[in-house]
Formats: sequence, C-alpha cells, structure tokens
Amino acid sequence: MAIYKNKKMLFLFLFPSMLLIGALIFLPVILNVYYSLFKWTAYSKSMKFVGLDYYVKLFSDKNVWSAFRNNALYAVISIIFQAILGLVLAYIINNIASKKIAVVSRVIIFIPAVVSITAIGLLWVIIYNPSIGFLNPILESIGLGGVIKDWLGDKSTAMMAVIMVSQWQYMGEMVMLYTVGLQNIPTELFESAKIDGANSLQTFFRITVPLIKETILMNVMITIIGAFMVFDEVYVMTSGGPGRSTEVLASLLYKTGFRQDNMGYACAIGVFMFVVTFIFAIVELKMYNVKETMGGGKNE
Amino acid sequence: MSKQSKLGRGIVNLFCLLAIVVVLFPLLWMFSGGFKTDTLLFSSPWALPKSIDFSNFIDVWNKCIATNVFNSVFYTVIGTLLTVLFSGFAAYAIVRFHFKHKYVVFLFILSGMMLAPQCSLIPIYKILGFLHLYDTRIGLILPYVAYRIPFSFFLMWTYMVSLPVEIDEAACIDGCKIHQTFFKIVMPMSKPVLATTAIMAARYIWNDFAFALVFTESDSLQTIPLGLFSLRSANNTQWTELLAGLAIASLPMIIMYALLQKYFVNGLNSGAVKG
Repeated sequence: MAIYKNKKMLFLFLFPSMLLIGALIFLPVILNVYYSLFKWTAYSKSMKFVGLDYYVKLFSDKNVWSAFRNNALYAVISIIFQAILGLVLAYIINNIASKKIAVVSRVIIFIPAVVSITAIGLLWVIIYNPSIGFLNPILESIGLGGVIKDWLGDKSTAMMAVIMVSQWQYMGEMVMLYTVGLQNIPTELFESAKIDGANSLQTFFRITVPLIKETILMNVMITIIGAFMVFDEVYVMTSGGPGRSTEVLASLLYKTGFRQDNMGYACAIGVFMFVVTFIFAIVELKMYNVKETMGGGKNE
Repeated sequence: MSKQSKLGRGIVNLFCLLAIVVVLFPLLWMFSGGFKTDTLLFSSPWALPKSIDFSNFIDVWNKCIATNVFNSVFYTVIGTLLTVLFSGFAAYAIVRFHFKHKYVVFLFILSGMMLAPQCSLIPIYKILGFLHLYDTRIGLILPYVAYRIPFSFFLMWTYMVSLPVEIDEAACIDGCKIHQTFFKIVMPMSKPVLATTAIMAARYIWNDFAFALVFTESDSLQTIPLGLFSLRSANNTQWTELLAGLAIASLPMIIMYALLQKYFVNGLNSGAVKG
C-alpha cells in the first residue's frame, strides 16, 4: 500500500522507541567506558583523566573478586535449581503427576515470581530472623535444632541464604518456561517409548532432554545473566553484609558510586559487569532466531 | 497402569503437594502476620492471629504506604501505557512499512534486550541529571519505558507479523490515514498481545527496586518497594507492620495474576525459544 511508503509517518512511528533505546540503553554503555577513564564525583564538575588506572585497580581489588565469586556462586546454584531441577520438576509435574495436581501446582508455584523481589526479600528476612521467623522453629521441631542460626547474620551462611530465596522465588517461573517446551513434544513419542518399555527416567533422558536442548541452553543463559546482574535481592536482604560476605558486583558498584562517591571506579565495575554478561547475552539473542523469522524466506 | 507406575505417580503427587506447601506457607504466614501483634510474633512465630485486627494495615498505610502506592500506581500506569504505545508503533513500522535498512533498525531495537540496566546505573543517573530529570516522575518513567521496549517490541512484532495486510487495505480502501489504520485496525486486532505486553511491563515497573533507589531521592516520589525497604531500615522495625506492608505490596500483583493468568503465561512463553 502506498501509505506504507510515507517517510514522515515512518519516522514518527520509530522515533520514540529509537530515541529512548539510543539515549537510555546504548549511550549509557558508551558513557560507562568513557566515565571509567576519569576520577570524578557526583557533585563536582571537574573530571581528572586517569586512563586505565581503574581497570588495573579492579583486577587486583580483593572486593571485586570476592563479589565476582559470589555472583559465580549465585550462577552455579541458580543453574542447578532453576535450569536443571526446574526441568526435572516441570517434567514430573507434566508427565507423571495427575492432571489436576499438575495444573494446581504449576499455577501455585509461580505465585512468588509475580511478587516484587523487595517484598519477597523482606519476607524472608523475617522468616530467617532467629527471634520472630518460623524457619528455626521448624528445624527444631524436626530434630535439626543443632543447625539453627542467624542465617542472614552469619558470614558463612548469609550468601547461601540470599541465593536460596531467589531459588524459592523463581523456580516456578522456570517450570512455566519448561512446560511450554515439554508440551510442544508430540505425545506419540512418549507413547511409543512406553510401548517399547522405557521407564520415566529413560524417557526423560532419551526423549525430553534432547528435544528441548535449546530451551535448556536458553534458560541456562538467562540464569547466568541474571546471576551476574543480581542487585535487588542482595541489597534488600543484607546490603552486602555482614562484612562483605554477600557483596555482589552490582551492590559493589552501587556502594562505590553512590555511597563512597567514587564514580569513575564504579563505572569501571559497570564495564566489567557488562563484558561478563554481554557474551552470554549474545548467545541468548542468537537463539531467538530472529534472522530466520524476520526474513521469512526473503533473505534465505 | 502397572502397580509400579501407580506407586510412582502417588509419590510424585505427594511431592507436588509438598512443593505447593513450601511455596504457599511463607505467603500465608505473611498475610496472617499482618494481623498479629508484635508480642505474639515474638512469643510464638507459629501461632495464628488472635483476632482479625486491621490496625497494622491501617498504621502502615497511613505512615508511608499511601503515598508509595499512589506513586507506584502512577508510574506503572503511565509507564505501561507508553511502553505499549511506543512498542506498538515500532512493531507496526517494521511489519508494514517498506524502507531501507529495516533489518538494522530491527536489530537496534531488539539488541536493547542484551544490555542490562544494572551496569549502566551511573551513566543513566548522569544523563537524567543533565536533562534535569533526576528525582522527577518523568525521569523515573523514561528509563522504565526504555528498558521495557525491546522485549515488548519483540512480543508485538511476532504477533503483528501474522496479521494479514489485506485487512488494512480493505478497511482503508477509501483512503484512510495511517494513524487511523494503526489505532482503529491494527491495535484492536492485536488485543491479546497488547494485554500480554502490558502485564509484563506492569509487573516489571510495579516490582522495580533499583531504578527507584538510584533515580529518585525525595520521599514524595518513592515507590512501594522503597517504602518497604525504609520500614525495615528504621531503627526500631515494627515487624508486624512490615508484614502488613508486604501483604499490601504483594496483593495487587497476585490478584492480577489470578485474574489474568493466561496473559502472564503467554508473556513468558513468547520469551522462550521459538521452534
């Protein structure tokens, strides 16, 4: 249609999105690199060029590496619980459990994912609390009184305690994501496997896993990216403490920039985070298969 | 069904019930906690509230949550509308218009999905300061919209691409304007995807913590998550009030999920790998 060649209208339609994305998504990435080369504070106008000093500092900074290790731990545990156990859970819910129970559990275990991280985080702060929470009383009543402690207040358990809240909150979302993949597998495949005498375990590893390989990989990527970007959970529950035991890169960035007013260094940490996650993000975007879908044969 | 697989199904069913309890119990505990007194909470965390007493809810509402709720609703409504509108514009342009470098524009919008806001907090803060938008309502809404557009655009584009162009043509045979085609034909036909996009955006904005923390300062502009956070950071935390506040903050999204479950699920599914 001729109206679809109108340049002015085309501009009006694309302009808001492109401006916002350009100014608030792409420009900040470039500015991050630029700002990381200067020593500056939020309220002074002067910026002193320091070159790559902050990057040299970053690689020898113990706090950065301990934060990085916490992010890595976050990633590993989240992959185990969300990407792997999430799949197992989705499989047993969809393929083994009774229909009614399957529907109800899928709906219910997703609920925490619609509530804000802040609310969930604070709820667990209370649950973990040794004087008012219910976790320690539960452990005592099942004979685990020996292990009880101030989970978030103890350096050795705080990080794990925060990580487990994320697993509790997002496992249902992963189950939902996997459910789609599982429901796309033709049921005949499962039926013929049954006729051939395959048990659930064999069906899972020989049919399910190979057929939703892509979904698994994609969910692993999403999980890794999320783990290296994590901020809300940590800041809300522990603000990085006690000591620096739960510091992650994003909370370190926030504190370095907005608490210590060392903006240049905070930007260098931002660039570091960007590089770490960008690689995984490219893999993820590739999997959307945009080129094929978009071309629709035209580009093939 | 064989005996063995019946047993297996029984165990799995029990396991599912256990998972439901693990998820539901803390949430129910939160809602009931709002009705307790601090003394009761400290003496026996397990006990059910003695009476249905809304005073915690009322106190926490009057203290801060009222302003915060207003702000959160405001940002969520405006931010969601702008996200849907702008993403719809862009998706429509890509689907219908003929122009050079279409693929470049398409990738430009879509690759916004790869760039997480957490690394860019400081530059965005600087940009907002430069535009005199730091600590303003619009200065908080714009980043929300910007970071929501790529995914929303993707959702809408996958839907609109399947709408037959003949409908536009037939409806507009008498030479109607392009904006009429968009608002009167394409958008109404895209209703299901609009709902999905809107819900995903609303969930994101309503629940956000980091942007509100960094881009606003005044108490009068703060959102529910920040209000809850400052309740906790107060020297003398009123725990049962906090629980009531958490319940107030969670309820709208849970209700929305209960009513519009289909769209939540669609939103997630479209994010999953195609094919």
